[in-house]
Amino acid sequence: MMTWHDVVAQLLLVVLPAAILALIEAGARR
Amino acid sequence: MFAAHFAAGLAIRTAEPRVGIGPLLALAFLPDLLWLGLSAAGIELVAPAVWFDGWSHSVASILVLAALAAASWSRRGAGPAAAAGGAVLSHLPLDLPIHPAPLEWWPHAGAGVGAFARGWAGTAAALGKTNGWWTEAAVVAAGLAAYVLGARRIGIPLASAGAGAILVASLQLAFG
Repeated sequence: MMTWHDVVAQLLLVVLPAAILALIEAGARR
Repeated sequence: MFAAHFAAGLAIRTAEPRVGIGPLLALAFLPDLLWLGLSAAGIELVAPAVWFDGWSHSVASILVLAALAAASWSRRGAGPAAAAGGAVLSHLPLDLPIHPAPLEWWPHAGAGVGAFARGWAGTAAALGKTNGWWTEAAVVAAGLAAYVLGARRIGIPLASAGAGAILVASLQLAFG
């Protein structure tokens, strides 16, 4: 079973790059 | 696969800019996001001997999630609905060949499809990487090419699209 630490670490691996991609797009549209 | 889901979301983004990049990426990763929660709750099992991810990754589950996503975006038109459903659906062909186990037809079906290239995928190939790594790298490259080439059409400058593509390519290099 995965621990909550594993879950948070894996979640951040998805959320952080997605946030950077969204910021890059948002910055480009300003 | 990991970086390939980012690449798929970005490629769909240029095809249908009316769905935001955040929702598209979340939908492309939706089965994995569900898997994280269900695994932590002990409902899905990650130990190789007892591997079970039928609720998040069975063929039926992904089809239902795709239909729900499409229905959620249907008020904005057919294009956004197809993009939202397609983002979820992209998880199926990307995970099918080299998933840790065959994708069950439905949760607890006991039978499934896929993982047919798992042995081949684990075999060493060029530059110390495996066949599976190179396969995912090719998928990532194709998705990022579609994103970079289509970005200007949806108002994203080439430099910005290039920066996003480099980020996703780095994810493949670091975690693929």
